[in-house]
Amino acid sequence: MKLSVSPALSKRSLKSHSWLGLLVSVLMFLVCFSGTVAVFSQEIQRWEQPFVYESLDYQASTIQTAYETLLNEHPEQLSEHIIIRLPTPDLPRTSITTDHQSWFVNEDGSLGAIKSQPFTDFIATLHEALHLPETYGLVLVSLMGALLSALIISGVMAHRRIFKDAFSFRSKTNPQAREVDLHNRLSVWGLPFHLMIALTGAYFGLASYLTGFYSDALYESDPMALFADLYGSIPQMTDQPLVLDIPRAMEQLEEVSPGTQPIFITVEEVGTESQYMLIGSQHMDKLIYSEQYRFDAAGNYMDKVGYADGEPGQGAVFSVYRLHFGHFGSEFVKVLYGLLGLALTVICVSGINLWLQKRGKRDALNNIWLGIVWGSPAALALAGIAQIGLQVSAIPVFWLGILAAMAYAQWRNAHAQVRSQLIGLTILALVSLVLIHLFRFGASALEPISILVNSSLLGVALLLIWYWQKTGATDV
Amino acid sequence: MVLSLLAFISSAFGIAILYSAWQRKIRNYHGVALCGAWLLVVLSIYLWSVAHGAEFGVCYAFITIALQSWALIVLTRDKRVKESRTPQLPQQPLALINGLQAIPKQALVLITAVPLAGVSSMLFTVVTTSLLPWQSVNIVALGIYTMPVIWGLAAYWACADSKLWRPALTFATIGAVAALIIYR
Repeated sequence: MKLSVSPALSKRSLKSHSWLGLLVSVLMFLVCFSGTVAVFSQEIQRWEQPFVYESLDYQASTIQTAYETLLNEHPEQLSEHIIIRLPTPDLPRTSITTDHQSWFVNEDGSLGAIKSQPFTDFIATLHEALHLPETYGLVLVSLMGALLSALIISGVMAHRRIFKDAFSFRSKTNPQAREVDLHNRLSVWGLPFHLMIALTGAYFGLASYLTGFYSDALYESDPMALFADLYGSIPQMTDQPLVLDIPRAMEQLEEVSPGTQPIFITVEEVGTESQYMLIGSQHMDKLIYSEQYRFDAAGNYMDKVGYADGEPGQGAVFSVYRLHFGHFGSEFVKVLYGLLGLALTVICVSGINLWLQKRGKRDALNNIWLGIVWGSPAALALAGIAQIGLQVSAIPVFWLGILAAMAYAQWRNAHAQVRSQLIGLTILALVSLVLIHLFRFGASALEPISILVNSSLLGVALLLIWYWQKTGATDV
Repeated sequence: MVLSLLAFISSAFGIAILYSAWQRKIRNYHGVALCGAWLLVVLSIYLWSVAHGAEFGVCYAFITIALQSWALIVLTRDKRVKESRTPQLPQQPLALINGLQAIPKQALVLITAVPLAGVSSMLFTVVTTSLLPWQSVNIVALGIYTMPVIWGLAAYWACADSKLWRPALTFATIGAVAALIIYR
């Protein structure tokens, strides 16, 4: 089977691939690196507050107690919405949140510790918006999704021996050929996953612009009509009781949708006569985040939005989140997503490494790139130490850490040594982070989730030690 | 569980045969082997889908295929020692002046590949998908998933073409026509 692009087209495609790769280089690396970590955001969130009561068993009456406690004891914190997050296997803790404050719910329904997860938020906002103001950051990161699809297309078109070389990996050859093989083999076989990440990633920040055009084309410039079609219309309620009956709604949900997993309750128009409830319940055979069942304030079932069995388009749009972050199936899927995310990060790094090598010279760009690539894991671990150990904001520590790594790499101008030192710093920071977590949380740090996350951090440190010893101070 | 195992084995065999065929380890019936390999891969997707539903099944299938292929690549890597020394590249100062001189040209490529290609891709997607005889919500969903690919194609062309005016003019025309259709 002869299936190959012409040499001229391949050359032009490679030019396009290089140009696009350079354009997104640093940002794409940071988005992929933070995305790999963000896959485990739920575990990090639990590790960050390990003392919180956890159980999958709860009574609807307990949720009612928590809701009424909020109404009675914290009326100043109430807002238009209340969100109650129900326990699920990957996050087995209940919380109740207004626009101003969030509390965990104790076993008896009383309000427990205030929800505070600055390190998880730091990772999430790094991945979603690179810590920029959300309006710009979200669009910039989503733009990476669109450009990732351009990189995939140009990469495939540039690769003349895509089938013949599909399994070639020269492990003992010169570093440039090895880097080419690594880049191409990871890219080709991971292509469906990378394309899915590109398409779903583009959704978060760019969909609003696209739906603006669709609203003009199909909905007579009425965006609310489009949103009603996509996300369900807002029910018009009157004369509703001022206190919700959550247990009745949960009971009705069992009848309407047996076998589904309720994951959240949202109260809309809180404290008014037009308030109502929306229960998000996950269907185990679907990728949608949840079907949304709506109840009046007395707990009577009204309708559902229809993500699960309505128009396929609604389901497709509401599947984006779980598809992008791998929050489906078992915990094992998250580990696989982590591996695939790491592969995409390595593809970013090896692509730029190849471009740097092909220039046939070394200059400040080599050092700066080295500082970014190996400074980022170290900066992330140091940011964790600052946040968990010292309660200092992780954001400046992370960015200053990367800047310092770039400046140090340029000052030393010794590629292999600097890489080795930055890996060493990351190992040290990871071990310190585990020790600080144990010291700060004491017995709570021995909860299963803490042991799991701390072991994983030590596992990463061990892998880095192995890589450190393997590469030493040689150029690879 | 049994179906998942069968799916795993099916894709493993499919990939192993693809490896043998593409590495020219199978000399006879090369085409038949390739067809068989792809059939086994498709069969694995089907089996995953039967076991876990189509949505999860397709995800599991692609993840498994990627990991199995990478595992095979590691196992069969070429360990022959060839030229393994790193060529010492000459150290040079950063060519800042050259870089600054290239900015205007590169800025034009950037404008064509990102905002121009982006806006015209969105408008093109909206106009073409709206022609489908589907419910509006399905059209919107299709557009959300296809627009990044169309933008990707456009950005690829903008960066690959030696004459930038060709993609730039095409995107501007497509964008203008599509806007005219939407806002006429």
